[in-house]
Amino acid sequence: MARHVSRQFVAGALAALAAVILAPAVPAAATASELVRYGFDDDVATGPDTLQVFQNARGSVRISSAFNLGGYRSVEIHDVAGDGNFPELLGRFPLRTEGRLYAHFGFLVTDPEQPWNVALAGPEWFALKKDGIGFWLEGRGGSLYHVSDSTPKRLFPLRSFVWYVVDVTYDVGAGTYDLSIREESSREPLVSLASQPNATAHPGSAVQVFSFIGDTGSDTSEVVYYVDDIVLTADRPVDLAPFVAPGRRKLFVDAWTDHKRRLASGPVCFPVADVALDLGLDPSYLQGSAPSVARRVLEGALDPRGPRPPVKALAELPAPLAAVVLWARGCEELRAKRADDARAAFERAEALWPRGRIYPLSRALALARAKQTDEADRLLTSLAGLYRDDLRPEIARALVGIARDDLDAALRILAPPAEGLPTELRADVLRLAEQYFFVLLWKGSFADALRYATAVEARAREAALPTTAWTEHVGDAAFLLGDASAALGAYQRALISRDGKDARVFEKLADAYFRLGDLDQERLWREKVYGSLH
Amino acid sequence: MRLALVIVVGLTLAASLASPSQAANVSAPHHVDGAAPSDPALESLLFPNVDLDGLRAKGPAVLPALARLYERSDESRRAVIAYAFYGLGWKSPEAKRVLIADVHTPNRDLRLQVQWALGRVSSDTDVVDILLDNMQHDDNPLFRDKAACALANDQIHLTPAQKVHLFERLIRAMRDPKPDVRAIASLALEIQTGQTKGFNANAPEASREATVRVWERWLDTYRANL
Repeated sequence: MARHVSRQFVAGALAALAAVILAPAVPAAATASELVRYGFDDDVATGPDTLQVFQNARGSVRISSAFNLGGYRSVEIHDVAGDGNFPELLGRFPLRTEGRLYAHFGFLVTDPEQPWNVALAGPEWFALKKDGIGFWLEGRGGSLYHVSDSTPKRLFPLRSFVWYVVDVTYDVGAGTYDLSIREESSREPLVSLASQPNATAHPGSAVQVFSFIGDTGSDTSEVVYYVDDIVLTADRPVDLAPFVAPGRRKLFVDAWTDHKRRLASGPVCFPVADVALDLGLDPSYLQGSAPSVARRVLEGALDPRGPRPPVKALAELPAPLAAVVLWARGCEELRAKRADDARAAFERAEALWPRGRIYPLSRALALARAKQTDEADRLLTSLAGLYRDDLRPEIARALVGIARDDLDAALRILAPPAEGLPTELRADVLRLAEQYFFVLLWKGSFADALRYATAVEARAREAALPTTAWTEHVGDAAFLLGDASAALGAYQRALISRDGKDARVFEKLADAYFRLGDLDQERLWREKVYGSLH
Repeated sequence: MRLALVIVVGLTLAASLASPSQAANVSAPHHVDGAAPSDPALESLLFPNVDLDGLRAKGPAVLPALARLYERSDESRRAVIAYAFYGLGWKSPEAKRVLIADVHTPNRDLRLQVQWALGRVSSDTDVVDILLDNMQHDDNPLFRDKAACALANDQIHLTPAQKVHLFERLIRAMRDPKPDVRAIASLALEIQTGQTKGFNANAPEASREATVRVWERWLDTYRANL
């Protein structure tokens, strides 16, 4: 049950918060411990490091001067029942995996009967699990509730058109929070709770996003409510890079290349290129088992999203198919970053059906992900004879180099086959080419990357293959080389070939326009992804 | 990723409990009673592919028409319409009435779509009871499994008071003699609450009983906060 906290504690916490809240706002880089501050009196540039606005269907999220807690404006969130969607104001801040987070905001509801929700969540987003929802406040049926230990607990009846000021001290390690809520006009809190278990009573549940919405999916809310003065502060200094462009502390192009490098450092399974050779499957084995069973196993193994085992366990499979299921399971583990479990599954697949050559190749990738790079190298060397006309082992060797942060080694492996680009642009050739391109980017060899991307784009065009990815790569290399005009042209061409729908290209166009000084166009393309708050 | 989507439909069960996917495409009309389609415009939003945006644009008034179409369709088309009910997620007594007639069908695709859709068209506790019964007593373990999936993910209209009904019965199912029922009941409860309270479906009975009692005490607290 909730315990009341001493007045002295509340006074101290509020004083600390007040000191933070009353500190002068810093326009770009936040102070060491202040993670976010939004008073909404100035325009807020939406983006990956600030706020994201979703106002699909008939709901809306907009700046309003109808009500305000501080300054003269606030954010109005309006949900519409039965429109199949919901509005959301979502904000990001640096991940907090320890220490305390102080959250402060105000809200005003126009109809206390209508449901609305606000939550702090972690890397698992708004799921009820560890690192999912940490703190959850909901208004419905005339009252305000907080969800603690998976239990909605009523706090007090809400009044219309009254600003409530919320202060939360979220202790990540302990998995608890202190909660104080008062009416704007009062110094005395309506509730003052200490050491409440977080939403799912999980100590160590990290947080990195906050969100204000209407209902949670029943599509019944007609809420109109207002939010103002959002401040999040950490109890210890946090390294916050300055904003380099509106809404972002890192340019989208840089974030994208960094993302690709992180992905390369944690490789996932290669797709099956040849069922007979990769999986060691002879058609006679498939004839020996029920066709529907074999079909389900192979459909999972060849899933374009990545190999995955059948949803339902299949009893008494013949060894070659059982090995495929184990391999697909290992690939799932690898995607989930459980390298040891993946390796164990691949080893079992190998033991069960040694003819499948993709099983040891996958094990090498698991070793690379586990940073056991020497062992991965040895294994890949031993596999060379199995893949005489296949570039996947070369790509895997490069990935091992990337996993150990040795880009020179990766380049040495990739350059010969990549620069001698075969006429036939098979899937493995294109994958190797792309890996080579990214290693050039990561090494800062932008001119070489541009030359190479331009050549592959031309070769793909000659071969009547899709060129969009390489057109985008031309733009990336040109951008990083400092030629924003060339980058803009490439991104525009890439967008046309993607029917004008590609959020990543929208972001890159925003970067290019930013570099060119066209802030109106920068905003237009950025807001296509992150929404507009005006 | 958005808060409500994740809370309601984004919560994935373990590999054994898959999320619903669009029912198989159905191209040719098959009306059970042989009657001609009464609303070709509506049917064009369902077959061969479900156009959820188009259906949403019609608003909740589309639900009775969908229910009528469901009643005069064959099983493959009923599975598609059940998927549409699921996707829309709007409460509808008409949808509940027609879906519930198929909640014991042996047709695999139809059964799964119906089980998933029911909680998204209704907040009645009898739907919860039917799904719980399927979860515990259906002869087919797949249907038991997917009934648990529906209880875990798709009861989007339940009020906190109605959730007591669900939690109480899931906790009771954790005493089921069948280990798979205990496991899926625990998993459904974990997805609903984010907690396991240390319950292990394969632990010795005394150990299981101790954790079930922890859950019962939690439920007492939950109920007291209503």
